Amino acid sequence: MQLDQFVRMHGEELLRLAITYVKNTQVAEDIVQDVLLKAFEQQQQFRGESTYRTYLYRMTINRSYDYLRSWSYKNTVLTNKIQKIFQGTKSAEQQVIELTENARLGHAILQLPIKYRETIILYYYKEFNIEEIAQLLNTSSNTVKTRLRRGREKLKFILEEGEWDEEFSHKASH
Amino acid sequence: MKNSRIKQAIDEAIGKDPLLNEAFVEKVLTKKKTRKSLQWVQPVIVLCTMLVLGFALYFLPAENIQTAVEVETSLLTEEQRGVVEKYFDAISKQDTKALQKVANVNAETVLKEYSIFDLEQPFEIVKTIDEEQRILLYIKLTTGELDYLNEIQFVKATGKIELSEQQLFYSYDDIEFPRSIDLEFRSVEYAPEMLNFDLKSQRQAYEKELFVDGAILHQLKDEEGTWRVMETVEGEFLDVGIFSDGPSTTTVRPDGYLIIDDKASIVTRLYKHSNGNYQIVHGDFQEDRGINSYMQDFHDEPFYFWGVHEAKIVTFLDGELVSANIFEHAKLDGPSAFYSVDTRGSMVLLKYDDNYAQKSNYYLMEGFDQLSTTEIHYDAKESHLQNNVFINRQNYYNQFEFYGNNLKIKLAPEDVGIDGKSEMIYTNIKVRVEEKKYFLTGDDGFTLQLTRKDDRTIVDELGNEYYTDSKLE
Repeated sequence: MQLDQFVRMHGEELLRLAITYVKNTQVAEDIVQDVLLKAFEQQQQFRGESTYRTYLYRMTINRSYDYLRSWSYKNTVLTNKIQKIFQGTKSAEQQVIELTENARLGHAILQLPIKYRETIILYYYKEFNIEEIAQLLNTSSNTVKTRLRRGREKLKFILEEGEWDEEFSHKASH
Repeated sequence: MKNSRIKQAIDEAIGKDPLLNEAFVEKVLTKKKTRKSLQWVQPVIVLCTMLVLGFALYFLPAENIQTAVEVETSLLTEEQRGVVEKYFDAISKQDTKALQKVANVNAETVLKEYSIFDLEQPFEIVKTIDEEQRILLYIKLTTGELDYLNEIQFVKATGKIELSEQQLFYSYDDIEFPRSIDLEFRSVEYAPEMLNFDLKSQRQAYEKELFVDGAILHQLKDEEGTWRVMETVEGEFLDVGIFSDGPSTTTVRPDGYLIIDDKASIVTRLYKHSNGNYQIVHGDFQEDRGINSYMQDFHDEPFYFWGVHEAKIVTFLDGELVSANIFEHAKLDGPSAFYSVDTRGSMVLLKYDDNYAQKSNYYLMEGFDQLSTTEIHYDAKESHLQNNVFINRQNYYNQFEFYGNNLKIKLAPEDVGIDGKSEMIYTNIKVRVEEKKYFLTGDDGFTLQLTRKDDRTIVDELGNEYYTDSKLE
């Protein structure tokens, strides 16, 4: 497979994943560029210990965390109260943003602390199961379940009862 | 199919249009080509650099190349670190000319101020705070027996050092919290009324939030963000301000309104004064709290504790909304930038964090004009460490997880040692308690000492605090 095909095949979902971590389009693009190049160069070395998707996701998550731990992100910006996210050129149409209930929910999810946010996103948005998330994040299934539960509690005021995945509610809560 | 509403919500928040475009593909392809060409160019560059350096080292005086001082930090760029090193190097050599090159300061005053410090040893930058216009640096200096913190600023526009506007040196020995903090409450301002505001003539897209009492919050899309204008039941338009381009969460209070900017985490309280006008006050709430938990933590008594580094208490006095800045009269050992405020129920938690040491202390409101340290005696019990998880207050990834007779210690990635283990499990844990201390032993000679600090917090031997969700009964 050529590189441009590789990028088109995996780029969109990795960009969407990275942006939920770093909340900055430019940074997400830089991260995903590195991930795609490295993964493409090391295709032959992939040992198949997990799915390829999990492999790419793990690389993206690790690089996102590297950015989040970097000094340029970590140090407090006391005077900058307005957080600019999703920087990029916007069309006139995109500038007219209608804040629906869904958009509020989406924003609230992206405001969650990183540990809850990533679990909610990997479970509901990327549709991994509990075991897969545990493997991806190198943690235990119990920890994943706990973080999902706590993440949902923090979003409770937005969601009405009964909207959660019934299967998860019965199996995961403890 | 899992909850598709959440999926749609996240898609809406990120943006429905694809993020992957031709420009991005082109960038990746270009980067690959650049990498390949560099593989050939690199050895040539290295060889040339070595030749140039060798020439410079041979012919140029050595003191032009190296500074005597060494700054231990990985938080500054190379260039910024170089400026800081040259600053202290010039001071150590009493070189006013060299000092003027890297700092906008009164050289004579600076040389005098620093004369008591030993600048021979490498010194640490204990904390950096990156602001829009400058980087605040806190450097640990020693006089031999005593440690001090030196606050200076690196001004981005000039690339030079300037002295702090507040205090140049702070004692850095034992950081203690004041026994009490005086509070001075002042009346908050009135919301600016826009007298000739014509909503219909506004061309920006906007949406309305209708309150049950008939008031309306207009949210207009401005190039700076979401401009909030409150239309009161009396028909007045009040300027609530712009904090981000994010949405709001709102609620009606018996005496006004509460508006939270979801994205910037700024809360606005509008209070209807008996004179018919509206007072307005803004505040931050803690970064790691979702909006829901903040609203659930609202106090029944009329005290609102807001802010992280710009902490304030807001309440009512003689029918007026008043506020007090918690740090205004606090006699703090360290720079106020190292402190932040959190709340635990009715108590205020003052926290100190300089990246090397983290401490905290509880205060209660004593009357109206003072916060005082609480003197509460806490006992340790073996049951506190059974089937419980304690999370490091400063780094979520560091945890103690007690389950059955075992203890799992989880480490943050940056704390993982050479062995690469991010988790260590200790078995057959036995706990002995004595007053507020826990003494743990386990298999393979494992020992650990913890101390109970308060309702939910334990402290390890290094002073790191760990908290748990449930109260320690």
